Amino acid sequence: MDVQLKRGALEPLVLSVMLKGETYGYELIKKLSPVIDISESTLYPILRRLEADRRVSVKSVEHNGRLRKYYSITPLGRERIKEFLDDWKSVAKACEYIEKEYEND
Amino acid sequence: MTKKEYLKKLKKAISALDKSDSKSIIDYYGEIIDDKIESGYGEEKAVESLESVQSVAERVLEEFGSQRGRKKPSDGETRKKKTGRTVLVICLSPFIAILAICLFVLILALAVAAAAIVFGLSVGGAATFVFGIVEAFSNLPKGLTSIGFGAAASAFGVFAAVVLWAAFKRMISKYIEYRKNKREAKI
Repeated sequence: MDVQLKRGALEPLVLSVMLKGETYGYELIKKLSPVIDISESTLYPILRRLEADRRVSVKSVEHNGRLRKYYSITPLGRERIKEFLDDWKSVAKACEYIEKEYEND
Repeated sequence: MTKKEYLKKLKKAISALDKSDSKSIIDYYGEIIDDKIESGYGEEKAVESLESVQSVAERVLEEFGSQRGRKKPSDGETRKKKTGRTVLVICLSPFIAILAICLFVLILALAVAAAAIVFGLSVGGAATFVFGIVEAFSNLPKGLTSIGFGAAASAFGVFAAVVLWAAFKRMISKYIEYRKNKREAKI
């Protein structure tokens, strides 16, 4: 996948996992790995950015004698997903046009 | 490599970062390793499955380089600045409120004055026009003059009303657009 396209899709992808409830870093990677190529070092800056932009809220919870960070989606995060889906509709329209022109060529 | 060794190396590789940023990264990788171990990986395997310390460090440093100036909202510094601004706003709020009220009253007065002039011109013009018609029966030149002035005044009044109304509508829509942009910029 094109790097720019992937970059644009990752944030909403990460957010969409949180729609089902709060989650943590490793679970995000496990859930997203079948969908997109994502590593720990790719996820970290995304989570940080989402937190800075208040699209997710973070809390540390004790788990088996250690702390684990849990991420939850905020209303701003939901808005981001909606924006992405709206943008994607325009891209899909452009794709359709390109496809048609390409096939007619 | 053990978890401890990996994290120690990583910490050294990203030592150029702030203490809090560095701690956050070390905590994150520590948590991932622990979670991998918990899900059945051996410690060595869990560490092996991660990217090399060097490539993680390169990525992190690159990311923090591009994010310079874009601090987390929870940072102490930002919070301090925000608190300072809030205190300032609270202290100045009576003056700001008085100033805002004065400005509002001034704009309202101007609007009322403009509306009154426009209304006066239209109604006065129309009345002069009607009066001119009646007057024309007894004194034709005087009557015609009144009809002319009346028609001109009321036409000007109606024209000014239309222009003022359009300007008012434009101002409102500009203001709504400005608020919308401001809200979007905040988001």
